[in-house]
Amino acid sequence: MSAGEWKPKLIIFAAIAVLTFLFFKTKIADADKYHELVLEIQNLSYQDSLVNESILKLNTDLFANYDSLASQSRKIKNRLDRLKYTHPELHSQQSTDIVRAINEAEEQFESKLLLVERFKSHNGVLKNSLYYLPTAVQDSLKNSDNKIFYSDLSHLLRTILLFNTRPTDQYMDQATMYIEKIKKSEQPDLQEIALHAANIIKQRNKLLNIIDSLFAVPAKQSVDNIYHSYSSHYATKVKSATRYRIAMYVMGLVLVMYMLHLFLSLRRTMRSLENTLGEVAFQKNALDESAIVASVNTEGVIDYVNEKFCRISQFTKNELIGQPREILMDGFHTVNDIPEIWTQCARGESWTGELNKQKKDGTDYWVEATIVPFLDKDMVPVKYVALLTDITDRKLVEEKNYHLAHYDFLTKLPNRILYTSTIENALPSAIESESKVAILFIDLDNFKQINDTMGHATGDELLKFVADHLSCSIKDSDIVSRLGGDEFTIGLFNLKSSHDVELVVENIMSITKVPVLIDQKSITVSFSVGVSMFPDHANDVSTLLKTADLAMYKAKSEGKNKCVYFRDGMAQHDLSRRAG
Amino acid sequence: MLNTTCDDTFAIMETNLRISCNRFLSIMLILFMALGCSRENTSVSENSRISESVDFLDTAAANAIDSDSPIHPISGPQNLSKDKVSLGEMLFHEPRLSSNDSISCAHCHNLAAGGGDSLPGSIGVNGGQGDVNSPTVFNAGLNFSQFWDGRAETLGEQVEGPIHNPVEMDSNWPDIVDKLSIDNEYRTLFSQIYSDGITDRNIVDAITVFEQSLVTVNSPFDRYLMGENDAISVNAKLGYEKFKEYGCVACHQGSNVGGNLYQQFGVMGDYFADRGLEIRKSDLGRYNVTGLDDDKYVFKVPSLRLAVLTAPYFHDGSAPTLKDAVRIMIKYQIGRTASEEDEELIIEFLHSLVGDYKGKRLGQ
Repeated sequence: MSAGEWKPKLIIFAAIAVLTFLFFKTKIADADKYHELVLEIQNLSYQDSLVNESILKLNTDLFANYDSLASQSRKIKNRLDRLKYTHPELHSQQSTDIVRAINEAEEQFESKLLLVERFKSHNGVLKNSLYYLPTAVQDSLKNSDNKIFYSDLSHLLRTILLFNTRPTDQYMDQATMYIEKIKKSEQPDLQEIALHAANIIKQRNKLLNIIDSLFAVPAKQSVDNIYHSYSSHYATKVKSATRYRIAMYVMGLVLVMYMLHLFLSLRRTMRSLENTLGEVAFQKNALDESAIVASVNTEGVIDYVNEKFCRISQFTKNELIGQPREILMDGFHTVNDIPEIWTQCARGESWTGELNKQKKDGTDYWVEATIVPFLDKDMVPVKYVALLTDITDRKLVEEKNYHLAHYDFLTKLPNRILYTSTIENALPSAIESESKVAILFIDLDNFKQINDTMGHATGDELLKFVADHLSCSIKDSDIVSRLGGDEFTIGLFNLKSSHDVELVVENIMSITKVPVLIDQKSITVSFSVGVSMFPDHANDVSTLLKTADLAMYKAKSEGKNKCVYFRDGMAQHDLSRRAG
Repeated sequence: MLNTTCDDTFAIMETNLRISCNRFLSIMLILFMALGCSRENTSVSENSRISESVDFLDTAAANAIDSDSPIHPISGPQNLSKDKVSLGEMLFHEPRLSSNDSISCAHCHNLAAGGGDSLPGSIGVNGGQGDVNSPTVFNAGLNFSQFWDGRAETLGEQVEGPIHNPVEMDSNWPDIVDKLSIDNEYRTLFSQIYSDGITDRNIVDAITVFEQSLVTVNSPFDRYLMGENDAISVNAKLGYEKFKEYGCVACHQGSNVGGNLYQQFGVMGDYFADRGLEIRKSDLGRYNVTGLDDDKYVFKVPSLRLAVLTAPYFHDGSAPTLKDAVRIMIKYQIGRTASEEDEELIIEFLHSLVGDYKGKRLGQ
């Protein structure tokens, strides 16, 4: 994967990681936990006030048992234990002040609850005497032995009860005075009363002290301290959680923007790609319209042909696709070239050339082919695209021009240019095979006279007839040419002896014996033929023609309608004749 | 040819686009989830606040009603797991909790005989003599602390005491867990209730739950308190009056008729001097726990619910009969002498305090 693909992925994953981190960071201030703990702390405070209430009610006899006080004390201990052991967030390193507050509260409650126990014990003893004293006094009053203490007893009971509800020094002094008086009696029941009355004073004073110090214990303040230290601790957490939340929001926004950016750039890329694809499609269309297109995959199988290809080749797409690539290349182009095309293309080079191909119905057509390898990024061809242009028309024109340049217009025979080049090309191979080449120079006798008397049309017809006749007189490998006017020449190849020439001459001369019907006119044809042999008489074309010409003139001078072979003497003779 | 290439490229681009869109959506989802969570939090915490305050009210209301009379009826145990109760009962009777497999909890806390034993000091493993009278296990859960000196706050803490006491069970948890783990039945029962099977905590828990079930409900006096006037005899009613009049009720009050405060033994007279025996460590009572001089000879005021069934009496088991106990109490705690008649009446009242366990009146 390239760096360009990694980057957005990396950014997104990093952003998700950061978001998750922030999300958990916003959880540090857990409102739920906070409320739970505040409730717990409040409850402690509440239980403390319940204890206070119970103490006051027990002190004033509104409560008759200690069950609720005992359960409140138990609850306080439980809640303190819970605060201490079941809330790890209260005991983190950042919250030593909370731990200190809890420990302090624990100490305060410990001393408070100890005082509560003392209160219960002493209250029990006090109540015991208080319950007993009134009946004891009444019982004593019934006893006639105690008559002298009547008023002291009733005063004692009254002051003791008053003292119990309003413990002032005055009542205490009075009560003590009565107790001292009653103690003087020997009566055991009065002694008991004195004991209990003294006990009431003692226990009441003790209880007053206990209650005072009990309410003086700053238990509630210590609970408030827990609350305050925890609240401030929580407030700082909330602050930082808010910061994280804002960071999370910003991060989220950034991420959304980034996604939007990616989204938009993706859209842009898509749009430009669409345009490009449109252009490519257009160009492809244009190409399909202008050129014949086929493609071959690397296995050498045709995988695409366009309409034009089908039209020109007359094959359907189905017939072509899946066929081996040789089908594209068949034709007149030499078979040896075809592997060369593919090796060249496999190297990544394109190949251009002309190919002659066959349509489905067997007719020929010509294309100019450019085969372009479609390369991947490692410059290895993944397919080959053949772009073909129909050049059949051009080929026809070329062929026509060639014909005009190399053939005689009237007789369709090769002209002098083609003739001489053919002979020239044949001479080296003749030397090699030690065979002979004969040049026959043929002149139609009396053609001017025929032309004049029978008209040019008949003359032309005659020339055509002669051309056909000469063509039929030779083998396919030989050549006959019209040099101009009534002059023809024949080249015979691969000759073993001059006897082979004689057979051809005999063929030529065969029509001179009887008249032929040309243009509904009876004409007697006769030829004067001069023969020159290679390498016997000359070594080049022009000399061969010249010598053959000389021999032909000799035949003409000897009376026409005959064949003369060149001899060495003819040259001088000819020169003198020309001169003469 | 070109067409196919274009189509391929298109398809790839489209897939990429779709993936990008999906990522975009999932991130938005995370964001919204985060917002949603923080909203949810507030609503939950408000709910919990409301339910907690309702809980406050309940407790306060219950307190107000309970505090009217000095003694109030015991209500039966509620919401106890039946499986734990039956497992706890098995363990309560399990001698393997002791070092030599001879002593179970029930050995000294005989449920049929009122939840204690009839000895002044209990006999432990190898004949070890305990230095205090074993208190009844019935209604122990209603006590505000455990042991005579209140050294354990809860039943769970209490269980640890006898297990490790050398003159009681003289054992330790690893041995006990090993011994019980051999037993298939225990293994099955524990694994049915506790995910971690047999552990010291779970043994304590089961025994504690069982002990919480040990309450004596439906006593005649409770029925009387709840308005059934004929539930107790005339003498018992008179006894109750005496009980209040003499001031016994100053300490023996609450649903357990005691068990919710400490009191010095001998407030109105020197009991230990009159007892004549040497002062032992156990006689110091709560002092052994707090170390405070004020706590010397201070003991937990015991429940009188099953007093008639749990002779002998006091921490030292020094009072063989209930009558002795009542007399000593009136003398040293109340500072009086009571008539024989009054003592009988009070004892009559104490008889009416005995309730039922498993639907059967205890001691019958």
